[in-house]
Amino acid sequence: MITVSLFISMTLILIISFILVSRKNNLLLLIFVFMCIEYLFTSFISVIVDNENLWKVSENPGQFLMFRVAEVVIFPLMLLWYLEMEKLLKTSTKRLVLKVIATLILMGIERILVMLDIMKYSKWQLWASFLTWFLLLSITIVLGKIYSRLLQKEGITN
Amino acid sequence: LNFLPLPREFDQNEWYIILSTIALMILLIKLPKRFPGSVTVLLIMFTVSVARVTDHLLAGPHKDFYDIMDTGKYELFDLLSYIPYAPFGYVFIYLYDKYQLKGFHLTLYIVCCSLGGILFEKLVSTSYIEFLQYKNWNVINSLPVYLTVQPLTILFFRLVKSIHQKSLLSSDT
Repeated sequence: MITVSLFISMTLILIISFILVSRKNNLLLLIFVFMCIEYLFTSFISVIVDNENLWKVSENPGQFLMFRVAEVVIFPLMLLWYLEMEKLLKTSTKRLVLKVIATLILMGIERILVMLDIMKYSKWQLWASFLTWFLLLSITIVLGKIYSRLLQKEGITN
Repeated sequence: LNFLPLPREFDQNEWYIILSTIALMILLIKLPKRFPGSVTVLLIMFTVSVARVTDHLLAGPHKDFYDIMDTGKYELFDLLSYIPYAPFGYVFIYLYDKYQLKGFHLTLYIVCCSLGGILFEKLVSTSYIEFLQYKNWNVINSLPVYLTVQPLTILFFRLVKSIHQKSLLSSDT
């Protein structure tokens, strides 16, 4: 129970800090990317967990709740943090370095879920995690660019 | 590995998704443009993602209240099954904005749309269209869900509209 409370508290701190820290991207863009990521990531989890059993989620109610919180709040918010950080960087080399660091951080969070017995790997390789997060980070950037063009067409430049 | 299984049979469920997507997309295109493209996209995504996340939380194996489509697995057509939701949300906001509903009229509108939602749900969970297959769920349980999501959709629209206007103003200056 203490682990659940601490986990939820950490998530709330993440949400609060994301709301309070000044944003580099337009808020509409962040909302759009967040909703797209929710759709894509919950679909990914359904495939990995429900269809293929490559990740096995704990049936303990507390741990199951923590998995859902991570899936619906923590990972999508981390992707938005990445989008915000990426906006600050000018060169493609720095952006690539950031993407690799962000991938490793997301893999680290995934590993924490395993360490807390929230989920277990089954026939899942490390490279698959790297590829998944690297792809999701790339999709986040593409989604941001598509919506940004739409905003620019309407005369919204910031 | 079969990540996104194809339907066991290409039956009325798949046709329901294809035809309702086409019909509702035509409706979406034919309706006079009312909102900026960026707001329309957000309204569509809000409807789709709320439906997806709700189903994911309620229909997943651990809280298996109902199945969508042929099996409890996440099929290819499950992925597409959220597209028909989008125009529903759009038309809901379109009418709300067009008629500037407030007070009692807005309450009545939300209640009627929620009842319409459960009627539609009942229609797609019959033996003829088995889009939804209830397990530990009754259609009436969906009423509070609609009564929560629809006011949230209106609040979301108001928020997005206000951010859009502020963004336009700050871009002009």
